[in-house]
Amino acid sequence: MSDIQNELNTVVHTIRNQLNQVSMHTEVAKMLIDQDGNVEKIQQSLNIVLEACVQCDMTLNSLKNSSQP
Amino acid sequence: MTRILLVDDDKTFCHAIAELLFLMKYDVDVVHSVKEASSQLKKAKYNHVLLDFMLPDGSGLHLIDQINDDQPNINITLTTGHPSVKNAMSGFCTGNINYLIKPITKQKLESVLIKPTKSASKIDRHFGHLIGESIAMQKIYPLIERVAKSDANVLLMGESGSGKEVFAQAINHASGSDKALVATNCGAFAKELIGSELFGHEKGAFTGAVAKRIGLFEQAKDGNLFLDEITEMPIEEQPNLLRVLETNQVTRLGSAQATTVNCRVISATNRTTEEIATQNVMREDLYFRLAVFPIHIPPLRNRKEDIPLLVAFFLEGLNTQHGTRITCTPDQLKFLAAYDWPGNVRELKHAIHRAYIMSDPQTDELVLPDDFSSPFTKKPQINTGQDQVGRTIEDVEKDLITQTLKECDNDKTRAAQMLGVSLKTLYNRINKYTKDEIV
Repeated sequence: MSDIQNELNTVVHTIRNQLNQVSMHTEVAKMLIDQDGNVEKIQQSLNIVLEACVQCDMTLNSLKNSSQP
Repeated sequence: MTRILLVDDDKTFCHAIAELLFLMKYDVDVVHSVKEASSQLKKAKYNHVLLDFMLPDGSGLHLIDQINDDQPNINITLTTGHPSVKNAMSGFCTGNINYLIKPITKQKLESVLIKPTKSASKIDRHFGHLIGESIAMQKIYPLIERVAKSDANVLLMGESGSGKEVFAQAINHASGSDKALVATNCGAFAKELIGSELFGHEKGAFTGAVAKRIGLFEQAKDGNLFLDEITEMPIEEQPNLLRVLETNQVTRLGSAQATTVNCRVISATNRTTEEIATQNVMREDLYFRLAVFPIHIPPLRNRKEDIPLLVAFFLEGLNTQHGTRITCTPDQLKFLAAYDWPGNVRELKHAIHRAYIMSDPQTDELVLPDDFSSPFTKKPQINTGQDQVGRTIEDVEKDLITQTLKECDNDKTRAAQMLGVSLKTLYNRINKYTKDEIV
């Protein structure tokens, strides 16, 4: 497998994990809202979602920079 | 409660999924390596293991043999963020092993944690929902088959707990509709909200209408709408429902625009025909619109031969959910059949659930109570003989026939069998008493 392919696989894996954080914490926040759960916990989950979005953006930027000549 | 062992070395992932599973009402234990998992499996019993494919001290696959040896009823789901291993993992996914690819959503989790009982069930369900091979049920199946193919409205009549919504689901299934049954309970709405629920409203149509709402009739377009406890709908709201049924047009509250709706209405009531006629709970014109095709659902006491099948079905669900093998003995089935089940199938289901909770882990058998009676149990009339003095034999016979017919839901063939007379004799007696009353 080429270096580029390896790097791409790593990026895909990283982004998938970040998306996983987004999906799971969104589900947690949704369920807490449905069950009239603790507001602090809802905010905590949503902060993790935002943080994962920022991380995802950084990963995509690094991919873009590395692919530029 | 379903108990899950989560085996994953990613602590951030573990924290999130454990929180999610906790909110989904699962009991979760978390470990981070093959070694920890191996030791935990010896300490506690689980229904499901969520297993990471790659762990720091080996592959999750190394645990599968041990899990199958230690706890053979357990379900295993392999989790991974590597889509490339999806194909490799699918080779393992037979029997009790499944896989889950990240990103994980609640729906994906439910799809692996809640095992579909439909395909696994050994019990035949008519039209995908109905269980029973009794004569009473065999009489109903052709009715469902025929009416389902038409667009006629159906009125389901049966006692509380007899499974009216399940029958509605069966009709929806038999109709071949690809839409899910839209179901609601007319007794559950506040009088002022019923119009909005059924027909929808526009934003600002009334105080509190902060957004547009699609009503149930529109939701059920080209499908089936189930209106449970239809006789509990306030009588003054019934003309609006009648109008929709007559015109097939629905107008959202606050809108001037009518929308065409084409759905069959399956309604249900636990009141008898006599009660509907005499208690002013339903307009006559609405009754004839809804009861184009009435179906009388038999109470469980009139189809006791279905009790073993129903018990097996409820037990199968509980055993699958909790990974157990609890059974019901033939003597226990006889005991169950001896009771009259005034709360019908619902009461039987709850009784089996209670007996399952009480079941003996040594024998894997249900533990039934000595007495099933509840505050709603209909006690048989005890005839002391005191009130018979001075009454004629004819009066007593007339009362007996009336009571028996009531017990048999006016099924004269069965009533004649119960009374030990021929059908002809029963008709002769009924005619005689009717004539006497007219005279």
